[in-house]
Amino acid sequence: MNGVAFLQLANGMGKTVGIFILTLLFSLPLGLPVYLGRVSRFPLLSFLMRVYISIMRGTPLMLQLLVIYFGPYYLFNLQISMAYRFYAVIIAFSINYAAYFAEIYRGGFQSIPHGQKEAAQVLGYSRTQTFLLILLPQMFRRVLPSITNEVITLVKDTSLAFAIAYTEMFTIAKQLASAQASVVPYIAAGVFYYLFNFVVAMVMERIERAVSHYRI
Amino acid sequence: MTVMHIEQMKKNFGNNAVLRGITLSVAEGEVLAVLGPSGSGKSTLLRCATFLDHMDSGSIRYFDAPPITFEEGSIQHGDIKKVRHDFGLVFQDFNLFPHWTVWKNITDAPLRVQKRNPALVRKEAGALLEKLNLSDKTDAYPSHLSGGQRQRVAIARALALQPRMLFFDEPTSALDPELTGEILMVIRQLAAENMTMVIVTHETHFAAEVADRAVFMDEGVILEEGPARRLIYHPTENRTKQFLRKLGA
Repeated sequence: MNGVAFLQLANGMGKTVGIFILTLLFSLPLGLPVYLGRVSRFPLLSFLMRVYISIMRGTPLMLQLLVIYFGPYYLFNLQISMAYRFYAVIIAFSINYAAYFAEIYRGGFQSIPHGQKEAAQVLGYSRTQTFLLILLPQMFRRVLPSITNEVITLVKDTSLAFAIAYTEMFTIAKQLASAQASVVPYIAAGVFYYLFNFVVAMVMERIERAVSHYRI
Repeated sequence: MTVMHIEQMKKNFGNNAVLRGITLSVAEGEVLAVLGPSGSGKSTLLRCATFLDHMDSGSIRYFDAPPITFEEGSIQHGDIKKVRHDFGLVFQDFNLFPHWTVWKNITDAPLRVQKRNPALVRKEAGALLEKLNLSDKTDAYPSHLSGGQRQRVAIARALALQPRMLFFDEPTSALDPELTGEILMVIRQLAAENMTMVIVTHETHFAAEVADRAVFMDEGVILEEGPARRLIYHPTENRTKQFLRKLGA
């Protein structure tokens, strides 16, 4: 593998990391309103969120990505700009992961003993205070291992962006491999994903340790 | 002076009538023990009195506030907010907030909910911890405490809001037998300070010692009521006798 190829791959790595960070930045917070809608007292909202989660989890992420990328053109005849390729990746990944996070949050909230809410009520905390100060921190503490799992999956899922030819790491590796008739770019890509996940796992472990000063 | 009065409290769960018209008063400084087999409705009585559950119908009055009346499970008159801090509740399984230190568990509600003077709250919390022999646990998390210590923190948390009366829901049932003593001691101390208390408990000897009055509940009604010692050691109703004999009183 020559220097130019290496630079190309490095550039792809940057984009892979970009997808990863932006997806987490949007999907982690977005999971909360989705969860709240899912457990809402309003049947219509709850139903819509249920359907949304079910579609996001029940169909391939690659297909969702294609629909979001090509949808504006086929459905509304809109011109697709070059920049939209990137936006489509971030939108598709974020709304897909938000659905998974919403379900993880739901499990986390459900596992908190009901007495926590009752204690807060007797002490006079408002519903909002109870949610933000008492339930939310405990929920995050409980779901951290599940979030770690999703985050590690996301590192590998970023490669799906090749489906719309967004030039992240995997797309470039694939191009280089066929141009050079060599498997080396794939191996380089594999090593990169592995190292990336190694760092991610280490960071998540740090976070888990930082909050383990108390047990639940 | 009557500090709490319940009138015709009724509560059904589905077709199951759990409370069938309870009328009960508590006087200032009085310690009332609520006894009865499980399923008799004593926990539901406590939950309805503290508004964790809404009674189907009936009313409850605290101190000078207007009575809060319920019809078909919802409030007709009165405002829970006005009486919220007239009483405190100590749970069977403590329900401390595990992500907060002992100090934060005790001081957060007085500061954030009651918005009281921080210097004053700190001073009182320090005194409470000392009184409950928890001074060295200020920065500990609940998971690092024994059951008895946790329950003492829970009592401190309730007292920090300066309630005028306290409810206890089987405060020693989740504790190992050797740890119940320290909780009973705290309750005894509070009784000596004339704290008004309503205690749901299975500790009949303790109830006889510390309570002024006792009620025996069965199948959603108060079956027998009287001075604690008399009711526990010389009950008149057969059902009460039978229950107390089983507990070994």
